[in-house]
Amino acid sequence: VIRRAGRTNAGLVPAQEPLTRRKVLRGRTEQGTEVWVAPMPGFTKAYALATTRYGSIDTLLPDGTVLPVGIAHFLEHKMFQTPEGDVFDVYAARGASANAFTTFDHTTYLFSCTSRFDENFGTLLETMARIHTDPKGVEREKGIIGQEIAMYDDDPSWRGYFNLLEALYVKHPVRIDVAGTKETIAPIDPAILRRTHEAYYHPRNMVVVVAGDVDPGRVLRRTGEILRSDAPGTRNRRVPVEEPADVAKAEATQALSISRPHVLLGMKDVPPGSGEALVRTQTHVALLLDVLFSDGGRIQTPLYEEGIVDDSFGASYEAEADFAFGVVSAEVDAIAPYRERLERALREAVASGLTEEEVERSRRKVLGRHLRTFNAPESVAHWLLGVSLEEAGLGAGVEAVRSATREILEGHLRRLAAAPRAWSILVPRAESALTPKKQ
Amino acid sequence: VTKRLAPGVRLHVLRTDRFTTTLCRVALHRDLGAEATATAILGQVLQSGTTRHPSREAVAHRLADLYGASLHVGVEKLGDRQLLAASLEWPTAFVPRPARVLAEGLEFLREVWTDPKRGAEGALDPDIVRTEQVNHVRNLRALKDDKARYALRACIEKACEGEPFGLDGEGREEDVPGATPAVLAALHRRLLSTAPVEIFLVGDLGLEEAAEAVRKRLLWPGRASRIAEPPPPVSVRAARSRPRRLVETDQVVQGKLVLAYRAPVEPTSPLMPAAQTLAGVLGGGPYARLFKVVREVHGLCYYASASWSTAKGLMLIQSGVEPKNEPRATRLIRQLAAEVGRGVLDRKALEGYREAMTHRVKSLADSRGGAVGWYQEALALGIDPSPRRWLDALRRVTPAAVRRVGKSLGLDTTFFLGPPAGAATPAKAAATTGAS
Repeated sequence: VIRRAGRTNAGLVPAQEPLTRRKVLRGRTEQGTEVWVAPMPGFTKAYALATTRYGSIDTLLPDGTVLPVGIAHFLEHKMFQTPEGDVFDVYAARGASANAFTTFDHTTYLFSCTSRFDENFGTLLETMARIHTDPKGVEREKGIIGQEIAMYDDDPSWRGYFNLLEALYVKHPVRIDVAGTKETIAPIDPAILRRTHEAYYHPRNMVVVVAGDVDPGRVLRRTGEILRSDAPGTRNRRVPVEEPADVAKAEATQALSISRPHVLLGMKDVPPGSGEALVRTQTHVALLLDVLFSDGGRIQTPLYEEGIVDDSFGASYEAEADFAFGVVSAEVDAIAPYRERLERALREAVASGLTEEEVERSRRKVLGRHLRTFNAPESVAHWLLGVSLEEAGLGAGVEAVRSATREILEGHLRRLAAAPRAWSILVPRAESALTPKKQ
Repeated sequence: VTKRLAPGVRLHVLRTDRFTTTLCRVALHRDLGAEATATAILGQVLQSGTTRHPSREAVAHRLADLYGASLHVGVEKLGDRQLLAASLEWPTAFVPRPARVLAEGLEFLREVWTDPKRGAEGALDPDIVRTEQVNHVRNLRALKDDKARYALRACIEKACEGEPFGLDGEGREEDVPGATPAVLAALHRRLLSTAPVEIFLVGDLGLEEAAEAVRKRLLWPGRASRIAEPPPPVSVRAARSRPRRLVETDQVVQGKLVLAYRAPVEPTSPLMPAAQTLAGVLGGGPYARLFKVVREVHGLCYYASASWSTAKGLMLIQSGVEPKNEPRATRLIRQLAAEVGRGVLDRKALEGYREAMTHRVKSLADSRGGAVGWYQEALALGIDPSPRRWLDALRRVTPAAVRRVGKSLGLDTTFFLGPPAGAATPAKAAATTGAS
């Protein structure tokens, strides 16, 4: 049970979310770790995230050493091992549920608990602070990760997505599979894991976010006490990759054991910059994609009614400081007719433009979705992590929704429709394909 | 708290003010059998158009106007029963005129549930039905794209052959053409009139207030006075005397292994918590034996888990392994299952499972979906719905009780989905070709 008595906000500065006016506290430890706390009175569960700004696109050590592909994800697995045993066991003994994930630009460790928050939070921070690399454990982990990779090899959404990125990008490391391959993780050894940890798991490069009914001042203090390093370290500032505007190849095809083709269209966008500009573009493009591709959307409706697409149809947009791309994905019966129909629908949307009504409806939807964020500590924490990593204000997202106009969204539509394109196509293997029946 | 609103219609209210949205779920219970496919398609058709909002586009626009409400209509499997449920979640705080938005949400849910777009002679709209028939066939075939899910489904189908539970909740491809507009209209009319219905409302409303709102805005006329109570969702039996091993080939990189064990333990049996503990200690999470031994000690897999199906006395074990390691993994899994079944409860695994369940029960207060699912299952299976008392019972489970379950537990079916013998593992690089 978490006691309310003696709570402090010492060292933390309050800010307000503009839509719900909920309070969020922000601070920084002496060694530079950013700390965010969202007090959520009434919730039983507390949820904590510890993140390093280091992910699969960081392919070099600061001194220029080339890292094995997949090492960020490998490190994520290894951090759970300590000389005393597995960190999962420590959490499990207290009923907490722990996990971690690796993305293009960050690696996050997390837990949720309904009791003994302080102890679990200490474990989370200690996990990040130290690395334990016994050679035997490293070798065994290669087998486990090998099976994780094998699982992704059979997963059509994973394969379709990374094949698309390989086609879209020529040089940018976003084209590399986050997990690597069995071959690329083979040379990973304790020494390179230790050097990577020292370089990128420095307090200055980390962000801690907690959502729940916790003592905010204590969260800041504990973070400062445990995330410490005597080594000099800095915030990971990435050198922008000079990526050609055009795509690496127009099409990537792979045969997989699936029931019908999966088709992804990638649109390679101009990177929108960082901070508020990044959030603005992400939000405005999200609104545009909602107008066009969501259920009842401008392009979704006719294609669904014509039987060309079904519920598997959708679109997304991913943008960071030096890369940005939009993806439209679908599972279809026939590839060529779908491609032609989609291209025509995009051309028609550019020609006719959007309506005020469409934009207003999507604005309501996106704001409604944002409101739902506050229904769970998990979603609040992930939202705050985004706010921190994007380096925009707490209200930047809501602000961007409010500032969206038909003209702005049409500008994004024209640019994306004209952007260099690549297609990723997964075709059913001949021997396992189910014969399509005409309905 | 629960209130009976009409013959066979119960309202369950979970009052809470901590959420920004309200959740309402209407679910009807029916047998899982010949009409499973038609019932699944009916769910799709219901969310595709109403008399007032006659297309998916119009439905989507209405949802957007309700501040991005989310609607889901679909079928679920609860033991030997099939549920058809419609859920709406919509913002009712931080919006202008919240009371009116609450009423509008309930009214829209009624519209979707009771007033589908129709064609000639009262049949459901033929264009919508045709589209959803095609989509249903696509969805059934696409089940095979998710290899782990496919293997689990195939194993259940074999282990529960001849039982309703052996059928997928979404039905079968061969039954799709029979789900015509006229058949669906008759099915819809019959289910709304005679099937038992549970309504769950989670929001900032007391029981009386909620009952009045639901009566006025959601409840529909025409309920029959005699309710068609479907057969019970529960049926358990012992494993077959000689376990079967089934292998299916597919061009996969990773093999998918599923083991189905059975024990004739009823949900209301005093041994139920021991059965759940057996599965939990064996494969409930990263603290459990399968994770510790098959993954951590032998490095054979990324995931290995076990779960207990309360309604069916069925323990399902799943793992993804390299095809050549399948015999070794199966052997290890069977050894561990036998060990836990003898009542050998690893201290850390037992403690981990109990703590994880404590966490799960406490988290119910924060998760509306979790709480609704919990009560729904307890009500249907006739077990005490109190999470607290369940937890107490779990904490009292002894090794002897687990041993008693273990004695009646037998391996029924092993299913392995793997590449054809001698087939080269498809290499990623070789399979990817570029064409510019």
